[in-house]
Amino acid sequence: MRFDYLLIPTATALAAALLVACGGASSGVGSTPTSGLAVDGYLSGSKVVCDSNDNGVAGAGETTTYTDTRGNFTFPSGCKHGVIVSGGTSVDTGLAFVGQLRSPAGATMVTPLTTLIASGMTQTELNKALDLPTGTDLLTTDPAATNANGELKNPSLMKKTLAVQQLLQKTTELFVGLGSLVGSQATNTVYTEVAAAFAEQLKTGDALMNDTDGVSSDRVNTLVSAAVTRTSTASTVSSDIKTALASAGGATTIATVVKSALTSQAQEIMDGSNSADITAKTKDRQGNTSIVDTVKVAVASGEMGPSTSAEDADFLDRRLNTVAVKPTEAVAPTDYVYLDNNSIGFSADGVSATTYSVSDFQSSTSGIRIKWPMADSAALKLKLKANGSFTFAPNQKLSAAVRIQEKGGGSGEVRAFTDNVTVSKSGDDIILSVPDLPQALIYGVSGNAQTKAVIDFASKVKGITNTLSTASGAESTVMFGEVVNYGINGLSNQFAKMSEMRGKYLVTIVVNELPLRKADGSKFDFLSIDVPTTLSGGAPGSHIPVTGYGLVGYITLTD
Amino acid sequence: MAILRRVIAIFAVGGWLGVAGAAPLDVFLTATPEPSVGIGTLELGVDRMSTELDVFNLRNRTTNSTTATQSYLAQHISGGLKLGEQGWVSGNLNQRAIADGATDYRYTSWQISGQYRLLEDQSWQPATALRVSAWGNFADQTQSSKAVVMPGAVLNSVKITRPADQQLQADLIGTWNLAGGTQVNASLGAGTSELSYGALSATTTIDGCNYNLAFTGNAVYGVVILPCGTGIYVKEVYDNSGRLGIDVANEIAWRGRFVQAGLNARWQDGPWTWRAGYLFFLVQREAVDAILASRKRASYTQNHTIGLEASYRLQPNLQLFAYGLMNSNSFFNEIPVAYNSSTAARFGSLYSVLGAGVRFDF
Repeated sequence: MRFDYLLIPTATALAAALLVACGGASSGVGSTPTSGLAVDGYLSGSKVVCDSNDNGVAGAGETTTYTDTRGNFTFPSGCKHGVIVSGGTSVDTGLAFVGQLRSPAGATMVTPLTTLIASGMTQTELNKALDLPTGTDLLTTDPAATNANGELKNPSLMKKTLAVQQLLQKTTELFVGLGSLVGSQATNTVYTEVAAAFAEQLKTGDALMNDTDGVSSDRVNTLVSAAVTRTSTASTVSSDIKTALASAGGATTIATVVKSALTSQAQEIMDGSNSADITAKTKDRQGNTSIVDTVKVAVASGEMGPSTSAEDADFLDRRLNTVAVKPTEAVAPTDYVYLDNNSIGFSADGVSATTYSVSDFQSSTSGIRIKWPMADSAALKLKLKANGSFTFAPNQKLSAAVRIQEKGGGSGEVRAFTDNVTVSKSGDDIILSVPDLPQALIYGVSGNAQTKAVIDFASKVKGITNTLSTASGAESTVMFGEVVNYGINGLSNQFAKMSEMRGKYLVTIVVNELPLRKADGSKFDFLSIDVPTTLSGGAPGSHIPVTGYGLVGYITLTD
Repeated sequence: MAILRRVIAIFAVGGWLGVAGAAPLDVFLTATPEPSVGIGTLELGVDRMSTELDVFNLRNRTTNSTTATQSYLAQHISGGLKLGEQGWVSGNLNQRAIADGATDYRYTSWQISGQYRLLEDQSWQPATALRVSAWGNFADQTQSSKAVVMPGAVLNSVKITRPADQQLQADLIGTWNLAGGTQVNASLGAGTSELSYGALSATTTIDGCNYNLAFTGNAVYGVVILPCGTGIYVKEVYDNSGRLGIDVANEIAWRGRFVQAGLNARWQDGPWTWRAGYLFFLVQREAVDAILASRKRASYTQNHTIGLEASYRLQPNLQLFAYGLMNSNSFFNEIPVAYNSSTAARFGSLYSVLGAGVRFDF
């Protein structure tokens, strides 16, 4: 039997080059399907884990599924436990979801509010804290539901849901940013602690917000203060963050400095007049990093620290509040890596390299020309630089995916991904390592669309470790020729004609968790690649979405 | 019993005991099927061939086949009822188990017939009857563990669910009653066959990995059977380009037309009644035989059946019988559904069975 493919090797190569490895699969815990909805705006492509050991942590062996483009998820074998949602994109704002939502067993909604319930509040307590009607079932009511006219059925619930997320997210980003950590591992850990602190505070006392007076800055102050205190002692939180929180002045100072800014941002969302306005304000506020950026500058300059007086803290609070609601970032971002001169080197022989700019790659007229078939030693040559200093939380994982689409009329397509690649930082080195049992798959469609396949190449990338250096003048090499040729030689019995591939291909690359930006600090496009992992008959079946920042460009295979 | 042993020996020596023609036992068709006493008849019987019975190793004397059927066991119940002076309706239900060494097939066969005598015999004019039949075979599934070589793949095993065939058949039968209870019968028939199936699946091996294949029409969906080595492997694959070279519907669910002609005689000797007959069968199948030809493989369109039966009347309305039937080309015109592009080669073999049973007239 032979299956003719046109794109497999490139996908394999790029996937391997990106060190995408995967993991994930886990055991079912029920007998009937369990469905739900993840909402911070409907979340698309989010990872949903059935917390079968009820420890509030998404474990490697726990059953995993993903949300569709409307936030829906299903565990085909059921889930009798709480669920944990992370990653993905809000379909309303188009922004990456930041945080880790939870819901208790039996809930059909997973929202920032159910996260507070899963963190210890009762529905009655939360309804009171948010001035919601008594009896509102927060575990089953979809806050984003709309009527036939597209207007929210329960705008108050939606606004309060988003406002709570704003407080949780920005507090989390502040703590993680102060610690100069990047990646969802740190973010999710802190988010969980912040939510627990919020829940503990909101169980009693005055409401956080009400429909008449809006968001209470006093309550925000107590929430942030409690969050700093809890996070500073949580065993799960990186010591870098604990140290940074102390260096920033501790609970009282930090809460004082950010309370007005956080309140203003939440209130902006609460002031949304209709569905579109709420979405616009949410997008603006969630995407705004002014609080963390400004506080970091204040800490770095010594304006803010353990010795900051209450009066100085109040001054900083007022100053921060003036920038927290501006749509643009107040200060230039730091703590990221970038390609020197926005360029990529491609070496056909592993030694000499041709340099292409990112814009060359993105140009449909030029693109990157690659000799085909390539040598085993073919490699990417990357000159990475760092802006600021950052590190990763222990056990931080990343995913990467590549999508290659045939241009010029053919239907050939390849989507490849690996997941669960461990990423860490040591000095100037970013170390990527693939676990022993990764999940690494390729979904391919032949040029005539008559053949499709899912290929497992985990065995070829498992155990690989690669180091990317950001040291001055250092050049990092990502070998991929051998893997590509392995694909040609090893798989050509089934995927014939790969060596005959020629012409132009549209390439999309997504890598999440890496703080990779353009040289000027601006972000790459936020993209998502859905990689089918099964074929349901002839159609793609289940899939894994890989969402993150990435690039879209072109390659041309030549003789 | 000595006679019975003799019958067995005769067919064994002849080397080609076999199943009857198209519809069951058409080799003994007669225009006067009604019993001499009573208005109907009921028959129970068993057909058998096995290594023990095939003492002369006849089944291996095959032509163009290395996959002869190894053993056969069937039980049938059949009956007929007289309707007026010219009418006769009959039915037959047959359970068959066929093994070819690597594969077991279990079919249920059925037949219903209505026969009307157009003319009674006068002088040299034979009694003439028209019979119309519907008959067929079906099974829950058939599974072969023998490798099947297709143009694009070698299938290690093939499973077909709900395979079935249906036939409509018409026969014109003439019967001459001669002196001394001797009867000579001639028949000429024609009919149509149509095969169907529920689903086709198979297993194959690609680069050392085994795959389950499921066919939907000519599209194939394959899923790897783990474990599968330590390298890169295709986990799932779907292909509707026809690269396997399998035209599923035409290869296993063909349509066809057939004709048959037979001649048999019956004579009596005291309590003994003997029947001997010959049936020629010719089928024209759509597509499948052309596909076989394109692959330079043999196809079979003709079958010759010879049958001999001896019955002993214990009571006026009770007989014991034994018969032997031989086909030149195995079962292909009695179980059309068993014939497809992957099994056709097996129909190049001689095959025969022995049968025995009891017939009760009422």
